[in-house]
Amino acid sequence: MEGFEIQKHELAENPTPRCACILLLDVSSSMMGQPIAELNEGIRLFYEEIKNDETARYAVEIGIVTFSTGARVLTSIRSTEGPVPPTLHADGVTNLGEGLELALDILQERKDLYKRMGISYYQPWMVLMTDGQPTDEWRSAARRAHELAGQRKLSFFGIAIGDSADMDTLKEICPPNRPPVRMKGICFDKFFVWLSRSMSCISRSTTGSSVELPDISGWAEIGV
Amino acid sequence: MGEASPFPLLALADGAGSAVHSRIGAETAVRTAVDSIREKKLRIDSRSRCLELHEAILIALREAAKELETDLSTLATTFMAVYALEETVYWMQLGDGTIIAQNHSVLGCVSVPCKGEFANETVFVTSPGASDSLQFGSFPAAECDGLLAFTDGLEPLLVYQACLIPAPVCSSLISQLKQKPLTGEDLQHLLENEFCRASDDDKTLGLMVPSLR
Repeated sequence: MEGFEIQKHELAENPTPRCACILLLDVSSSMMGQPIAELNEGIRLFYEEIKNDETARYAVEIGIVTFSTGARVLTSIRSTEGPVPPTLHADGVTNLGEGLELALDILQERKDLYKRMGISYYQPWMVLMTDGQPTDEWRSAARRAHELAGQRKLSFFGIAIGDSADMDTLKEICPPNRPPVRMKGICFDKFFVWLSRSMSCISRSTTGSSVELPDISGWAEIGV
Repeated sequence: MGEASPFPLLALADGAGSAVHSRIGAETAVRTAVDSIREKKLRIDSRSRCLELHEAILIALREAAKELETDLSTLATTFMAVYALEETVYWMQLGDGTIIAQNHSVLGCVSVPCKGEFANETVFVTSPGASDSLQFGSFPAAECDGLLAFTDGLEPLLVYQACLIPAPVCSSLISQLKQKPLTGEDLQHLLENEFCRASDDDKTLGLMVPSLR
């Protein structure tokens, strides 16, 4: 007797669940020179790694918000297909609070879009990278981030770049459940490889499974 | 259950991927449900009786946890059951998964997947407040010419998620089952080959057409 047969066109086609990742980047004047060059290279590598991952390329959507004297959406949250993000240039002061507010706003807009379109999604990530201290009011934005992280609606990672980064303030900005980490030197490449592998783990996770992230010792100063 | 039931008892459980003893949890949930419904004649025909079955499953899971010297959460599992009794189909569900019924070739979702905000979240039998997420109901067996129940690993291929409409393949499977029995080999072939691209998740499928009419 013949076995059961199904036709491919009879199956549902559902969009891949999305995993949004926002990079919130300090491009103030102190990042001039090698740090901004390494950061640009790291972002290029991040996009390449995601594009080369069979699962993550359909799931991961990246947005980039930069802050210096003001904040701007460099790249709205979208897949890694399409144009590479513009090159970052360092200039101005460190309006981190404004950047964080903007990043949280575009994240909420994206989640609203997913809901309207019936697209399921994973807990979004936000990665803050800074080498200094905020020059504007940041506490109300930090409260928003803490609230979301406390409700497990956001995974927030604060990364300090170089010795001048104000770790005490960064600790207050980061949600208590995930304190900031200082990067070893300026190894953006290792960090972004770790980030792409973490995104890949998330995009492969199934219902009820726990996600074990890759080891951070390659790029982070442990014990900070 | 009785000899005249057009749909015998189908109970499914899907252990949480993160729970160490989820396989034992899923097996315990199914065994307890079969024992309660078939042997002890518990009817899941009201919220209170569905909660009675939930409690029976929890008691069995707590005993299993005690034997294993572990925490209840390590046995986390979803659960769903569907069967017919005296011309009525009864069903209940806790957590993820979907039950689909066909009425004169028209498919409809009987239950909907219980998901959290995020794609990899659901409620388990063992979750605090799980009973708040209980889904249950009944409908005339005469209006049903086929039933599918499946765990979340198959949802991406069997249900259009944005509108919770069953995919045409559900009708196709019911039609084929009316023509010939679904063997273990057939089921294995479906799950391992035809449905393999749904996700990396475990996949469980129960399929029934009325045995008596």
